[in-house]
Amino acid sequence: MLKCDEVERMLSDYEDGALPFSKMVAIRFHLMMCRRCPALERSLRETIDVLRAMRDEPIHEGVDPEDDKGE
Amino acid sequence: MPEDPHLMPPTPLDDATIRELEPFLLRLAGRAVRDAVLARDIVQATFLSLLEPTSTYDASRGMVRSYLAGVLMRKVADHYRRQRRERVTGDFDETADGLDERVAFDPSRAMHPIDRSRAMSVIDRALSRLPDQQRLVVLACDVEQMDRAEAASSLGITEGNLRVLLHRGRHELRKALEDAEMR
Repeated sequence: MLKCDEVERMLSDYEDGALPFSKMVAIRFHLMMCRRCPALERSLRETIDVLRAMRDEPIHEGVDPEDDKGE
Repeated sequence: MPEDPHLMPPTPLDDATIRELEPFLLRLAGRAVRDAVLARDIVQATFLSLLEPTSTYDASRGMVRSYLAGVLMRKVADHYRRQRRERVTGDFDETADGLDERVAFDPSRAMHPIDRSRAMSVIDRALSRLPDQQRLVVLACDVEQMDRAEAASSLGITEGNLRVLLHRGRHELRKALEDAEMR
């Protein structure tokens, strides 16, 4: 079975289906067995979902990257 | 005086192409530079680049969309360089070894989802904090959903480097989202 750090390194590719089939299956199996990695996978998938949903959102000009630090 | 068609350079830049690609290029430039006027200037200059005698567009080598996205991203990179007076090429030197970094993650931190509009706001701001090339890769691959080969070609980098930049960029944004969820 893959180790967690190996899965972490491949998760971004996994989300895009950009891995060989055997690796995709191995990661899916790891995610079924691991207590830690599924939350990381969900978090990364949510991030990518949000990015994809941003395409048709209005663009906010001059965003100050520091703005949200105090939220 | 009627136009002499023989004086027109061969170009794929017709009205239909402009209408089709302008929204895509405006979104890409708009999110990259956060300035509508500047974004429009960059997009116009990008289209005009096809008409320049020095244009290297070759219809037999790929789609005009990829070519224009590449021109646009180089113009954005030039803008970043001028604006921040820092070299942007450093990010391109990253290799697949960059994937060896562990991505700090605490599973207990992913338990408090925030609403979608706040998540967008958090990620939008976090995007502006990413290194320039990571930001362009994330914008191309995730926001604009270009395929990896097209995005890498447009950015003039290998798919291996794009993979590293995308991995790092996505995890930085994920961490920003987690931080927001913790508040």
